[in-house]
Amino acid sequence: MFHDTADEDLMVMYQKGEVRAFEVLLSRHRKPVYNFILRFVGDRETAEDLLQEAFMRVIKGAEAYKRQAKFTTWLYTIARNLCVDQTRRRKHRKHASLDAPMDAGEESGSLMDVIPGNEMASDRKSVNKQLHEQMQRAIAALSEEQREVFLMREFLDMPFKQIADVVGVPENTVKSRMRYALEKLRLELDEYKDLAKAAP
Amino acid sequence: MTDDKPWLSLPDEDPPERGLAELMAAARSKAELMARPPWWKRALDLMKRPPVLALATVVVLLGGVIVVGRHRDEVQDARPVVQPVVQPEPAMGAGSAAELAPVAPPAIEKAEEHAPPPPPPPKPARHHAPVTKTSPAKAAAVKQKATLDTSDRKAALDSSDEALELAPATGATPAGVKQPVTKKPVVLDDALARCRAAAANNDCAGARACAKDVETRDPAYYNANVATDPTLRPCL
Repeated sequence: MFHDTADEDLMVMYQKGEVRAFEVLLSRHRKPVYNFILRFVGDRETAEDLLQEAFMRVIKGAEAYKRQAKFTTWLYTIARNLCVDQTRRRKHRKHASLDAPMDAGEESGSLMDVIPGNEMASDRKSVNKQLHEQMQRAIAALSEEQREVFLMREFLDMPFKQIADVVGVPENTVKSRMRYALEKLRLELDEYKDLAKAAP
Repeated sequence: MTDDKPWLSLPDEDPPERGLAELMAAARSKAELMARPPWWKRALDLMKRPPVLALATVVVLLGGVIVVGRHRDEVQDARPVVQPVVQPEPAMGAGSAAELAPVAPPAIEKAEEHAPPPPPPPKPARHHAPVTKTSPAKAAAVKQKATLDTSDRKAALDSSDEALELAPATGATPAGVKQPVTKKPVVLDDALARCRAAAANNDCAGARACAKDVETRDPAYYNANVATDPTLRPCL
């Protein structure tokens, strides 16, 4: 029913009391927001909590939402602020390794293990696993400012202007951060290029 | 995936279902709250919308036009109605001139009372020119003035002034059309000058008659100017 409706219109409908509109928004954005948060904070449990908190804030602030504002800008501003607050809160702690167990209790593995793999040759799978692992490390090694810009640009396909609105800096600053992030990542992942190519 | 951007090969993870029900419950309760805002907030929101603002502007403009239009109508209603003028019978001795001069409405005449008398027209009155002179006697005098040559002009002016003075003094035109009594200080001044001239020429009878005429027209003027005049006093 509402699946072709724009986010902003759905939000206006929700403001008028249409719960189904919010359901559509939730189903549309829950996954990308979750992955954004997960890649930002690098921790699944924290990502779940922050995802819940982000949508709670959307519900609470729904009345104040203005139709002129882009919904995703608003949503990712909330998510990004939560991530920044979270990383600052635990800054004093030692940053957990991506290889470290994610959850203390369950039969957890590393972040790489939760990435679903396709049915493929074990060699190829192994190479991909190494590559993914290295990529996660490289992304986590980016500065917070570079990482948020990189994640929004590369994984969410956001225009620079919108990223600038979310982050709250000029567009040129966003572009500059993106350039440094890419340079750093390419440097980190350079040696794995040959490995990826060589894999059967 | 592209070689340029190997990180795009990183797969997305599905978020857990945990917390979803709680989220939806919160969304429902909030929706109920939002669906029924207080009446004043709804009214305020309605007024903020551009179409409502545009409508309000149009209503205000239309209201302004109606108010201004009514005011104009009232002003027009308050104005004296110009009544059809009854063409007076030609005055005795001034027949042709009276025929040519239409009678102006009383309102215009009244306005003329306070205006200084126009200088004597240098040209004879044209046949179809709009003449605002009211009485046929005046028109006759004007025509008479215009037709006289320069040498006779002074004497003619005297006689025409007399005609101008006498016509309103009678209070009625020869045809019986009621004319308002006019009191023109300038005319009275002229009469006073004539009285003085008569008194100066030892024509006390003429001066008295003249003074009586002024007294008849305007007793206040008489008391203020004629009775106290040192030239006239011996004759009165």
